[in-house]
This record gives sequence, C-alpha cells and structure tokens, in this order.
Amino acid sequence: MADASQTSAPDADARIDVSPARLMWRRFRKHRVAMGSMVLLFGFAIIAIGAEFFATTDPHLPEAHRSLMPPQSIRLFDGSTFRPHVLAVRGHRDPQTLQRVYEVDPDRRIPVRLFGHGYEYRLLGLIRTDRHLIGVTREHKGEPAIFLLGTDVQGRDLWSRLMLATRVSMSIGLVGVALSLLIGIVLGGFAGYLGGWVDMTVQRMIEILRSIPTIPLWMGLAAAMPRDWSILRVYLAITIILSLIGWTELARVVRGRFLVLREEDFVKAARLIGARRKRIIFRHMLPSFYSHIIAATTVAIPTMIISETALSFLGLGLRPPAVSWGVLLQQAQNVQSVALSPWLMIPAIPVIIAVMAFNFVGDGLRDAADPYGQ
Amino acid sequence: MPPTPMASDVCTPLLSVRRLKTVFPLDEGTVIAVKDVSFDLHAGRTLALVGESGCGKSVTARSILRLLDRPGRIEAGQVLLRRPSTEQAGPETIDLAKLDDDGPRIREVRGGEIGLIFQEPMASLSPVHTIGNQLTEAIRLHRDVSKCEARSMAIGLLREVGIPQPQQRIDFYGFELSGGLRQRAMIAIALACRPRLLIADEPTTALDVTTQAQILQLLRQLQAQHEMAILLITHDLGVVAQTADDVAVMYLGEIVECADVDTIFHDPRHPYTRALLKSMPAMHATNRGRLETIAGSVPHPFQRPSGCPFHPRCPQVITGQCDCQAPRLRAIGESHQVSCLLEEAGS
Amino acid sequence: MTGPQSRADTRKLLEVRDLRKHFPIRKGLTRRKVGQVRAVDGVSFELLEGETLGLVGESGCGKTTTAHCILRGLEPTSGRILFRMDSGEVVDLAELDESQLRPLRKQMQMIFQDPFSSLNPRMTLLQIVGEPLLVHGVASARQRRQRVAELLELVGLSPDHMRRFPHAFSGGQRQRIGIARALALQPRLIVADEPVSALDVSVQAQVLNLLMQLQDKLKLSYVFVAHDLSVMRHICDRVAVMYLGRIVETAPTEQLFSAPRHPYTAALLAAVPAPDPRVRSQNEPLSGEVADPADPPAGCHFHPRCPHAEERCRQQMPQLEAISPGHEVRCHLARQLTLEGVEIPAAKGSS
Repeated sequence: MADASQTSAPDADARIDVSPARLMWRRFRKHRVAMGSMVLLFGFAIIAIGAEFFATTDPHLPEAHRSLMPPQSIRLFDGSTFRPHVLAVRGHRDPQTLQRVYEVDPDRRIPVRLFGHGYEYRLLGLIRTDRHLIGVTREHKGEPAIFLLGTDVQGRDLWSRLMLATRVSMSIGLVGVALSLLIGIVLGGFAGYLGGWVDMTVQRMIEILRSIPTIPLWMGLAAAMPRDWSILRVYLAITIILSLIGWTELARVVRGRFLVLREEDFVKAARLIGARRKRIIFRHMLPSFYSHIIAATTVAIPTMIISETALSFLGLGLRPPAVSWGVLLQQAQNVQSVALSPWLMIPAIPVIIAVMAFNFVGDGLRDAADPYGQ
Repeated sequence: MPPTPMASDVCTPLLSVRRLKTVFPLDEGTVIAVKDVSFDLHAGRTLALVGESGCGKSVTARSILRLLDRPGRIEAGQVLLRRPSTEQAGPETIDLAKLDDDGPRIREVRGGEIGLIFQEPMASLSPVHTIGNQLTEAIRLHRDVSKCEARSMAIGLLREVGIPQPQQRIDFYGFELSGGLRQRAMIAIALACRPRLLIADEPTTALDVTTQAQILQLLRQLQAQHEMAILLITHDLGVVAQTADDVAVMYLGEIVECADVDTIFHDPRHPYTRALLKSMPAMHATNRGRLETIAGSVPHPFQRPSGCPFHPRCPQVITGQCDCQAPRLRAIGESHQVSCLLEEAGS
Repeated sequence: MTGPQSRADTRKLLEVRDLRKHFPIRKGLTRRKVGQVRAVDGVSFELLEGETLGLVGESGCGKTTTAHCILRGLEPTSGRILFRMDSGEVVDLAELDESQLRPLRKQMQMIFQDPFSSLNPRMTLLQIVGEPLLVHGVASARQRRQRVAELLELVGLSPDHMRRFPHAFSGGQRQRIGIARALALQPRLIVADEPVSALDVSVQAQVLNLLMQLQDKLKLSYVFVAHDLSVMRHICDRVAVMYLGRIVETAPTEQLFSAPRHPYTAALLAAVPAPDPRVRSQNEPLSGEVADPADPPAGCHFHPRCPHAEERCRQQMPQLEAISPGHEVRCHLARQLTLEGVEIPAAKGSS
C-alpha cells in the first residue's frame, strides 16, 4: 500500500486536532527567508500608514536655495557627550560652474531628537500634530534641518518624499491586485467551473490580453487620460489600467484550481449528497484554494509595483505633485544628474526590497498552502 | 557473468544487514522508522519483507541503497555486501552503511551490483528519454562498451524480459507502453548490469492481477537463470507465498518473525503474523463469513508503544509484561526467529 | 419522472439496462472529436433488495465508470437506470435532471475508493458527516450533532472526535468516516467504489466486516466495485465480471468461483496468488494485456488473449446468454469449455 509515502507520514501526527490554517502557519514559519520578508513588509506597511510621522521635512515644500543638497548624516556624539545633531549646511553658487555648492558649517550644530517637532500634519488623517520620529527641539522648530537622503532639484527633502511615495506605491500595488483578484476570481471561476464555451472565451481573452505589448498599451491608455484630472482620479485610473492586465495571471490560477478541484472526490461526494452548486463552490471549492489565491496574489503585488514604477518613470503614470517611487526616480532619468547627485537613485532601493520581499513571502505561502501535500 | 564463486562463498550470505537503525529526525520528534533490523540474503534466494504500511519495509530497502529521503539517516548498524573475488582483488566485504550516500562507491553498487525496481514504473522511467536511451546509459555507466554494443545488449535485455518486438520498442518512451510492459522495461533496466541482488519494492502493486502473474513469473525465471538474490518488499501475502523462499514480517520498524516461507504460512508463532494471515480474505472461504481482524490500527510512529510494539493490538497480551518489556528476536528453531515474550516464556 | 415500469418484482431495487458511457477523444485547437473510448458499452444488470452485487475486472474494464453513472456522478451516454423508490414507484435516473435527482439522493449514496481525497480536509467530522443532513434540511444543529454522534458510533468511531479534522485519522478510520457520511440519510442503495483497495490487509478486514454488518442491520443493497476477487468472494451475493466495457459473466458468487464459464473469469481466478506456499501455481499466466478501450479488437474483445479462441471469436461478438438460471456468459464456447475454478480444499482447519 502507500508504503513509499511513509517517509512523509511521520509528519502527520503532530497534526492531531490542529486546524488546517494552523498547519499552514506552522509550515510557513519554517521558511525563514519568507518570515524575514514578512517582517520587512510589515515595516513597509507601517511606513505607508504613518508616512508623515516618519518624514522629517515637508515633502512638498520646494526651496530653490537648497536644491540638490547631498545627504546629511546624524552625528551621535558632540565631543564625548551623547548629543545627536546634524551640522548645518551653507550653500552658495559656484561663479564658474554656476552650480550650487554646499559646505558644512562645523560650528552650527542642530540638535536632533526622537519624537521631536517639525511641520504640522494630521496623523492617519485625523490627529493634528507636529511630532515626527526624528525632529528638532521646540526652540529649533522651523529650521530647515535634517536632510537624511539629501534633496532633489527643487530642494525638497528626499527622505520625506520617499516615506510618502511608499504609501502611494504600496497602496497602488494592493488596490490594483485587489481589483485584478476580483476580475480574476469571477472570470477564472466561471471558466473553470462551467468549462465549455465560457472557458474557451475567457481563455482566448486572456491570451489576447497577454499578447499585447504592455508599454504601448499603457501609453495609449495613459494618453487617453485627460491632463486635467485630479491626482486621485489619475491614481484610480492607473490602478484600473494595471489590473486590467494583471487579472489574467490570477484568473489562470483560479481556473486551474477549479479544474483540479472539480475532479476531487470530496467535491464529487458533495454533489452526490445533493448539495447545490452554490454550496459546492463556497463551502468546498473556494476554501480549498484560498491559500493558493493568497500566494498567487502576493506574487502579483510586486508586478503591480514595478509596473507603476515603470509607468510613472516614463511619465505615463502618476505625475507630480503626486509622489510615488516611480515619480521620484523620474529625477534620476539623466546620466548627468545621477553622476552629480547619486542620492537621487536611492528610491530604487525600496522598490527592489519590496519586490523581493513580496516574492519571498509568496513563495513561502505557496509552499505552505497545501498542508497535506508534499 | 561473475566468476564462479569459491566454495567458501556459497554459504556466506550475499547481503547481511546487522542491527540496522534508521531514523527521521523531524521537528515534532524523531521517528524510528527501522529498529534493530537484521537479516541475511543468500544468492539465488528470495527474501520477502512483509508488513502493513508504515512498518518500515520500504525504508529498510532504501537504507540498504542509501536512497533515504531527507531528513532520514542510518543511525546505527551495518549493511554488509560481499563481493566475489575478481582478477584484481580477492573477495571483500563492504559496509554500505559507512559509504558516503552520494559518493562514487555507492553509485557503483546501485544499479551495478544491486538492481532496483519500484512500485510505480511510470515514475521511475524518464518521460524525455526512450527506453533504449535509459537502458544503454545504465549499461555504459557500469561497463566499458561502445554505444553500438550497448544498444544490441539493450535489445537482448528487452527480449529477455519478454517485451515483444524489442527492436522497435527500444525507441519507445515509457508512457507509450502499457503498465505491464513498462514494468518489464523497468526490470530490464534494473538487470542491465547483471546485478547479483535485485531489490523489488512492491513490484506488482500497481498492476492488474493477470499482469501481476506475468511479472512474478518473469522474476522467478530471471532469478533461476542468473542465480540472483531478490529482496522482495510487499504487503501482499499471496505474492509472498508464491515467490518468496524466506519471509521477514515487520511491524513498526522491527522484524517480529523471520522464517522460511512454509513455516510462516503453516506454523506462524508471532501473534501478529497469525492475525495477519487470518485477516486475509481467502478465495475459498465461505460466502459472507466474518473475517478475523486485528483490533485497532497501526499506531503512529510518534506514539510508539512501550515494550512490545504490537502489545496494544495483541489478542494474547500479558498485561504487566508485554507493555514494559521489549522482546528480542530469538531463534526458536532452525531458521525460525520470533520476537515475542510468549515464546521466551515457553523456552 | 417516468411512470411505473416493472412493478412485477417488488424485490428489484435497481435495474440497469444497456448502459453506455463513451468519452470523446478530442484533439487540436478546435477540440475536434477524433474518436471515442467506449468505457461502458451496453451494460445491463439488476440488483435485488438487500443484495450485494460485485462488479469486478481489471483496470479499464469500466467498472468504476458504471458505478459513477448509476448515481449520475457521470452522465451516461445512453441507457436506462431504473430505481425503485421507497414509495414503490420506479424512476429512470438517467432521465432526471439535477434538481429532480436531488431528493432521490437521500436513497442512494456512494463510498469512495480513496479515503484521503474523498473527505474535505478543511472540514471537521461533524461538518463532513452532518453535511448530507444539512443539505437535505432534515435536522436542526442540535439534532445533527446527535445524529452524527450516532453515526460515528455505528461505524465504530468515537463521537468525541467529532471536532477533529480528517488528517488526524488513519486510512481505515477515514474510510469509516466516509461510510458514516454515506449512511447519514438512511439510503437504501450504496454504491461502493473499491472501498477497501487503499487499505492494509488487517484494516481491510475490519471495513469489510463493518459493511456486511451494516447491511444486515440497515437492510442495505450494495453495488460493490473491486478488482480484488478474494474481497468479492467474501462480500458479494452475485458477481459480474467486466472486460473492456462489457459484462462477460454474471453468476452467484459460489458458482462463479467454483465453476466459471468464461475463459476470462477462469484466468482472473487463476491469476490471484494463493496465500499458501504449498500450492504454487504452475500454470502459464494469461498472456498479453487488456486492449486499448479506444480501439477494442473485433469480435469477442477477449479473443487475442483467450487460449480457447476460434475463428468465429475473431469475427463475431458473442451475446450475453443464460446457461443456467442466474448464470449468464458472453462466450461462444460457454457450453463446450470446462474451466477450472477455485478448488475448495476439503480439510483445511484454519478457516
């Protein structure tokens, strides 16, 4: 009998009285990289929620006199006493190259503290406050002080902008995937459960959509967007454009699972008991593969993030004054600015980290998704 | 063909497994899949390892070949393979348990001196190589012959295992053959290097009865022709009765009884062996007769009972003894060993 | 619903007439039909109240397909499946649509082969065994719990385990859960598709005993599909042997085993390895293998493997013919051949 499988059988016992969800979690936890990535993503989520709190300077405030200022570092000790501070920077224009040159003023120290004061904002859109994770003391408030990652051409603080961009980019990923998921489950589910011509139509639709080169499609759709739309409308339009393409992969996953499950004995058993179609789908089929859907969705998020970044980078997606990772990277479009102000490339780092983290978590979830399989 | 064995080789077994212990360290605890298993296998004879699923019979076979799935490992014991003398060297004995499990020496043994056939021939035949490719590869891996020679040898092998039209079939893929032919092809690959020992892990379980009868007959013929030793792993007592010379009954990783086939079927001494034989539905039984059963089911490896592993299901259990004292496998007759306290008390 | 059909024999629970199930073979982008597999090709049999009919044969003979067609788990291509309801009325299950079939499902249930895949791993025992009750709205949540407890006890499981998930149970225990689910609505007909073939010998015996005991207690009728003849020997009153989509022989169990009349039946019986090393089979096993059901041989499907085949076997498909009451054979030579069955050893003390 199933003697060959006995090597995997020992796994089974610690399972007595454990719900399938617990089993899945247990298996996911074994996947260290995925666990680490999960923690990272939590970090990203917290940043996205409280972006203004993590910002140091008003991200929308342009100051010509501090354009392209290099990153400053926080010094922890003043002499031998612990007194975190940054050194003030003085800028002037080089008369020969006509570029702004910045000099550190070693005598003017601006003290820095945790939960210090800065510009005013509403936390979570509700609580009015001027406290930030890193800020200055009250007497130094208002002083343009900390530029952890330097500034952009218009003199806006890159660090603060990055915090805000995290919110926009991450949420576009999530909302876009949620939308694709909806389309994907409905169309994929119909195709897989009903089969026949419905399946054929959906399949062909997917093939056609996937065969269209994405960049020209985006360009066309983005060009169709009126220039005078508000940031919110552009944001929504971009998510819809992204999910119009993104659903195909999810629909395929859903369809595939439906096809597999339709032949499962327990689904057949439910049918022979006399269960109605609705019950079979919602009680038997969907719960058996939402773990797979979660995994597929997690892997789909980074595609969304990358697409948004690419679109915005090309100037087809979000436009200033909206801030996203792609919009920030737009400033790093020419070689000259990158050569002179390499810090403009920094927004690429969170993109890479987020994409990799989502992929690892997706992998881990996929492995854990089937607690009974090997 | 191996050179004629010397007189001393005749009575020494080809393979001796000594107190083999294989464990699977898992997060939830360590599973002892094989515990203190010892047996001898002589040239030209068939030893059947019988037991229900989870008894460790497959793991034993995989331990011998060092093909354990992770995280399984041999914790103790010896697997002694005797090699006959060759031109270069005299007879020697190697302990397979000591070899590196992916090293050149074990690979030389696997497929060279020990052939292997699995339960599911489909899973062990490559879907992207023809039968011929796999056969010639197996031949050339262990023997220094040209491609052309290997091919003609392969055709010869296919003919030997009873595949009709071997010249054409050699260029077929595994999936193009029916179940029975596939298993024959698998046997041909296992025999490619004329192994002295063939390990057959449930070779007929996936086959229909009529095909099973053909394959069992083929194995018997091949054994008679090549003086091959066969280690047969099966749960089917009918197959055992028809093919084995000696039988070792396993339960929860231990051999509980070991004897020649006639003794096992006509004078079984261990309560488990007896119960197993009785629970088998017989072809000549009365209609709708109640079958004898063994109470309960095989406990999970994590919940290994103390004392005798069979005591919770044993109809002759002696409370206070069987549950605390582990019996040892001891000889009660010529080539008959039983691991049961009842027998110890009797002697 | 069809009108009353054969009220004559009130003991007849199920009658299958000329059942066919053909699977199309499709190829290419347009899924053009290029052929068909005649998985079940004109199968007829009847099942009496309280009886066990065995369908036996090798893989590809259509026994499982037949079983699934009876309960309309698969759509039969043609044929009639006449079922006598508890009201005495006879309906043709093949004609009903899903909504008409639903109330009838209470009276007929299935036991599946694979005890692992046939239970939803994400449901507890209570949900699994209670589902038929829930679906047919026969009980409140409390009554359901009570009934599930009864059912679990009936099949030899502890009602305390009701809240556990199936993965906590062994194969044999899971098969018991499957049986409890099938019994939940007090059916009269149970179709068991290889219910013990995935189980170990000792557990297999337990489940077979349970099935026999339940039959006596609950007046069940079984259609029992298996490939293992020794299992058939124990549980069936009558056995139908199938080969390539057709029944080749039907007879009362005893008769079929002791005096088979079809060469295939005899070959099947001879191929079962006897669990006794003193009776080692010396005869030549049946040659060849089951033909491709998409392309069966002409004439008698069995002729390429039959040791007795003659010219007319190659040309003409024999009809299923009664050679004695209750014993039907599909063979031209049925009356001429003397075939060897299973010897019943006169003095064998053990059983």
